[in-house]
Amino acid sequence: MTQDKKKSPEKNVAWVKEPQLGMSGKSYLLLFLQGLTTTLRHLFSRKKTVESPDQRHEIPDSLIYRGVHRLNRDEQGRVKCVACFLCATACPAHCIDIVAAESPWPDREKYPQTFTIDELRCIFCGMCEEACPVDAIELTSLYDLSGKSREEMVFDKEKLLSVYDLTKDQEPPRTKRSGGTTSNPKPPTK
Amino acid sequence: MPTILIDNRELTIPAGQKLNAIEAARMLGIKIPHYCWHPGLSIVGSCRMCLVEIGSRDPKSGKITMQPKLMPACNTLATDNLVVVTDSEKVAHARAMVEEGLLLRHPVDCPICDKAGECKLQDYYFKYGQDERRADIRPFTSRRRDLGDVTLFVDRCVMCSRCVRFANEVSGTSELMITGRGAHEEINVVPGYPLNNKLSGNVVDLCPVGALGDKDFLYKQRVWFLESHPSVCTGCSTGCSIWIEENQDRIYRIKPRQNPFVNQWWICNDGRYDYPHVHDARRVTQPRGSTADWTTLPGQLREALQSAGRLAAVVSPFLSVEEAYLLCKLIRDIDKNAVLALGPVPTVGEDERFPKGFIISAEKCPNRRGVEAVLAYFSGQVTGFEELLSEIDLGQIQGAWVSGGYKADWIGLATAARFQRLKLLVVQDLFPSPLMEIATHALPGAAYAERPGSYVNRNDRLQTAAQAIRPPAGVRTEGSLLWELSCRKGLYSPGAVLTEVAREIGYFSAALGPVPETGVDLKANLLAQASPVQPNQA
Amino acid sequence: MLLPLIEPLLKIALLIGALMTAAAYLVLVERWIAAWVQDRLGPNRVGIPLTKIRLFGLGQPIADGVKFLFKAEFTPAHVDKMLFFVAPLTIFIAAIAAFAVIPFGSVIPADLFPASWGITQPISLVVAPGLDVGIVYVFALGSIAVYGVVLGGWASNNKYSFLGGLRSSAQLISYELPLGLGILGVVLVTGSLRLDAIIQHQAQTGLWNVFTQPLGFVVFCVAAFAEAARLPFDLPEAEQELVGGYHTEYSGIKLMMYMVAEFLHMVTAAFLIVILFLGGWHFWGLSGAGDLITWPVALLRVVVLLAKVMAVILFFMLARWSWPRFRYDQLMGIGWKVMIPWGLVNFVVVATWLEYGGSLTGLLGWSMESSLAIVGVTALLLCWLVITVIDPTAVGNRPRPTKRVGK
Repeated sequence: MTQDKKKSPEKNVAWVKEPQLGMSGKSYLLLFLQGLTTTLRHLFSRKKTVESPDQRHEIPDSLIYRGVHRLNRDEQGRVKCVACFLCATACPAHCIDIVAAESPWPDREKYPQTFTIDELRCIFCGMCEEACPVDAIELTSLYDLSGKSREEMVFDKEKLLSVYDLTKDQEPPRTKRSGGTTSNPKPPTK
Repeated sequence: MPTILIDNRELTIPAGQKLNAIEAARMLGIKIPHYCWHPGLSIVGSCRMCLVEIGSRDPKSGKITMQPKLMPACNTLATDNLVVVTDSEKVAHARAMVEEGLLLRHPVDCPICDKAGECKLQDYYFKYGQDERRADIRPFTSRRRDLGDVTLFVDRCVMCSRCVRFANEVSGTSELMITGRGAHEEINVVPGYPLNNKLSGNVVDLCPVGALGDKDFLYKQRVWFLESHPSVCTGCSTGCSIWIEENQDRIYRIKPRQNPFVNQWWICNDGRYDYPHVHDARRVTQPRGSTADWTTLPGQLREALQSAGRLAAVVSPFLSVEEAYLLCKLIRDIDKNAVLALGPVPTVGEDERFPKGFIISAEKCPNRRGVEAVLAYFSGQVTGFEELLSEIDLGQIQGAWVSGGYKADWIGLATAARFQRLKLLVVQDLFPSPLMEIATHALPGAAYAERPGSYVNRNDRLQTAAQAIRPPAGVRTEGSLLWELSCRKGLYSPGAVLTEVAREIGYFSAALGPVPETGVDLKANLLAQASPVQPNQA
Repeated sequence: MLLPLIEPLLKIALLIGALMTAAAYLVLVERWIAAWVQDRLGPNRVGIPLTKIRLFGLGQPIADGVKFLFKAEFTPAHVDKMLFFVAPLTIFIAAIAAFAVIPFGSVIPADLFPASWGITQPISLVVAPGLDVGIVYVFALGSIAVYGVVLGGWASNNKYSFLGGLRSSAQLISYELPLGLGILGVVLVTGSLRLDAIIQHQAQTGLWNVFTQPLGFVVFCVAAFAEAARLPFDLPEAEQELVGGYHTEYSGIKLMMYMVAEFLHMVTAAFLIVILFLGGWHFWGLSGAGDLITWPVALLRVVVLLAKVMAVILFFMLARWSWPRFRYDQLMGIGWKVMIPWGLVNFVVVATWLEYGGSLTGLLGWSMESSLAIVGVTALLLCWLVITVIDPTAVGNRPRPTKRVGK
C-alpha cells in the first residue's frame, strides 16, 4: 500500500491507494490455485484438536493462564483479601461484588464479609489480578467451568477459597509482593 | 484595589476583599496545595505544604525583591505589590520534601482507607511528590482510636489540626486536642469527654487524609463508586445545602455542599445521618385502594376527587414548593371552595446556635415558609391543621387529600380517627400511619432524595434539590402524580412549575429564571441585597 | 398390469430415500472437510445410541435430524402464515423433483433379470426415462427455487429477510443465464436434450465435453456454484457478514427443508456437471461404451458416475474454504460481464465449428471432436486473456478524499 501523495483536505487522514493487482492476480488463476493448495495442505495436515474430556488440555504456562478465580489465603489460613474494592473497580464486566466489614482479627483492619464473583459475567481478562494490591485474587488454570444453574455460577467467598485449596499445590501463589497490611515486620509501637 | 503578581501574572483584587495568597492564586486558576488551611478556620500554617516564594515589587521602579526563605501562602495576605512564585524549582522541591516527610510514618494502607480516592495526601503526592520513596517502610495497619462520634486512625494523621480548630472555633465544644510533641504528636480527647457534639461529623469532611473516619460510612463503600447529587437537607428549616452521595440508588453518605448564605461548609449530624429512613424497610411501596395499579389509579383518583363533594387538602411542610403548588391548584380546580391547610409542623426544642453562626432549627421541616406562601396565595390565609380538623368534625368536608412525607409518626390514633367520617381520603405518605389505615386511597410517597424540587428555608432562601436516587419500585413521586392528575402533558418538570409559581406568586418572583446552586433570596426584591461573603472553597 | 407402476414408484422411493440419506451424510462430510481444512477433527463422537461405540461420528446425521425434528418450530406472529409454509415446501419439492430426469447410471437390460420376473423392457436408472426435454426440465425446476427464496423473504414480513430474499433472487436469476448458455454447446454437439443421450454421446466419442468445450465447462461450473449458493458465491446467506438472509425467521423443520434443498441443489449441480461435461458413467476402458451391458458393466457405470459426482461434491466443499466470498458487485460483474459473454462465445464457436469446421478437419484428417477440443481450448485461453486484460469486474468504489465546498 502506498501513501497517496496528494494532500487531503482533512488533517490526520492519510488516504491509501487500493493495491493494484498484477496480471496474474487479475487472471485469478494463480490465486485460485493458491487457495486450493492451501486448503489441500491443511486437509492432510496434523490435527490440533484436543479431545476433551478424553484428553486434557495441557496448559503451557499456568502462571499466565486465565481460568477460574481463587481467593488466596495468608499464612494463617485466613482470606488474604483486604476488601479494598480495587478488583471490583478494575473489573470491566462488573462481576465482582464485595461487602466489606471490620475484620475480626487484631492485625487486620478490613476484610471481605462477602466476596462474590459471577463467573458467568466474568470475561476472564485478569484485570482483578492486576489490580489486587495484596495478591489475594488470582486466576488459576482451571478452564473447564460448568454449572447447572446461574446461581451455581456465582462463586462466593467459600467457593473461591476452596478453589485456592484445590490449586495451591499445583499453582503456588504467583508473586510474593508484600502482603499488604498483614505482613508488617515491625509493627509501630502502640 | 491591591494589585499582586502571581507567577508573573497580574491580579487585581476587588476592593473590600481580604484574601490570602492561596485564595488570590485560585482566582487566577493557580492551585497552591495545602492541608491545614481551611477558609472556615483560623490559620495555623503548620503543614508547610503551601510554601511559596514571596517578594515585593517596588511600585515606583518596578523592581522585585524576593525573600530568601519560602513562606506559607495561607498566612500571606494579598496586599498591594505582593509577588508570589508558585512554579519555581525551589517551591516544587519544598513540596516534595513536605510530602516525603508526611509519608515517612504514614501507613500507606490506602487499599483499606476510606479516604482513598478523595485523599489530599494521595492527590498531592501524585502531583507534587517524588517519583520514588526513599524511606524503606513497608505498609502497616494504622492504630485506631475511638474519639466518640468518629474514629481516629492515629498513624494516618498529618497533624493539620483542622479537626482541633473546628472543635474549638465552629462547634465551640473543644473536645479535641493534640497530645505529645514533635513526631509523637497525636490527636486525642480527654478520657471521659469524647467528641460528641452535633457538628462532629464535619471533622471527617475536614480531615484532608483518612485519619478521621465516619463510623456510619466506615468500610461501606469506596468513594469512587459514589455519585454526588446537589440537594437540600430536609432535617430542619435551616435548609443546608448538601451533596447526596449514592451508588445504584442507595445513599451511602451525605456531605455538606458549600453555601455561604446558608450553611457555609458545615452540616449537623442530624442532617448528615438523616438518610436511613429513605431505605427503611417499613416504607409504603405499593398503593392501596380500589385498585393498586398505577396505570388506572390516576384516572380513578381524579374521578373520586370530582365526585367527593367539598374538598380539603393537607399540604405537608415536607412538600417542595412545586408539589405544594400543584396540589393546591389541583384541589382548587376541582372544588373552588376547598380548604387548604398546612400540615402539622414538627418542632423539637429550641434553635441551637453555634459560635460561628451555624444554626440547627427547632422547626424540623424544610419548607414551612414556602408552603405557607403557596397556601396564602390560594386561600388568602394559612389554615392550620387544627382548624381543618374542626371543620371536618362539623361535617363540612367530604373529601381530603393528605400529603405526608414525615420521617416519623406524625399523626396519632385520635387525630386520625377524626378523618373517619370523610367519604374520600387520599393519603400519600412515606410510612404506615393510623391515617393510612383508614384512607380510601393510600398512596406511597417518595422520600426527599427521590424527589426534585425547591424548598424555602427559615431565611426565605429558596434552594432547588435534584433527584438523587430513584424511588423504590411501586412508588410514584408526589410531583409526577400531581402533574398527571393536573392533566399536564409530558413528564413532571419541577423547573416549569417553579417558573409558573414565580410568575403567579409575588413572594416567589425572585425564583424566576435559573436558580443558582446557592439558591435565591426571596427577600431580595423587598430588601436591599446585602453583599454576601465571597464564596470560598475548602 | 401393475408392473409399469411399480417400477417408477420403486425408483421414486429409492431415490428419495437415497437423497435424504445422502443429504444428511453429505452434511457430515461437509463438516468433516470443514474441520480437516481447519486442522480440526470434526464430528467423531456420535455413534450407536446408548452404547459407547463411536463409529467415527457416523451417527451424527441421525442425531442432527432428530434434533431438527424436535426443535421448537417458531412461527413469528407477523408472518404470512400460508406463504411462510409454502415457501420452504416449494424449494424443497423443486429440488427433489429435479432428480426425476437425472440418471444414476446407464440401463439394466431386461435379459439380465430372470425371465420369471416378467421384465421385458430394459430398466433405465432414472425415474422418468426417455423424457425428451430432459435438461430443460431440470432448468425449469431450478428456476422454481427462486420462488422459494423470494417467497420466504416476503412471507417473513421482516425487512432483513426481504432484503435477503431480493439479494438471493437477483443472484439466482442472474446466474441462470450463464447456466443456460453453458449447456447450449453441449446440446448442439449432442443434438439432444436427453441426459442419457448426452452421456451416450460422450461415451461414444470418448472425448468428454469438458475437453471439447472447456469454456462452456467453466461457465457452467461457475454458474452452478452460484445457483447452489455455495462459496465463493454464497451471498444469499453470507453467515459471517449479513443477517441470515431469506430464512432468518425460519426454524425447525422448515429451516431444515431450506437446508436440505440447498444441499440437493449442490448434488444436482454436481450430477449435471458430471453428466454434461465429465462423461457421466463413462470412463475409458472401464465402463464400456456400447450397448452390450453385462451385470458388472451396469454396476460399474453406477459406481463411476457416483464416484465422479462425489469428487465434484468434494470439490464444492473444498472450494468453500479455499476462496473468499465475492463482493456483491463482483458477483454481479462476473455473472454479467464475464460469464454471459463467455457462454455466448462458446456457443458461437461450437456452432460455427460444427457448421464449417468439418471440411477443415477433414483436410487435416482429424476427427471432429479432437479439432473441436483444440478450438475450445484456444477459445478458453483467448477469452481468459481478454478478461484478464480488460478486467471488467474492477470498479472504483473506494472512498476518495472529499472536496470541501468553498475552498
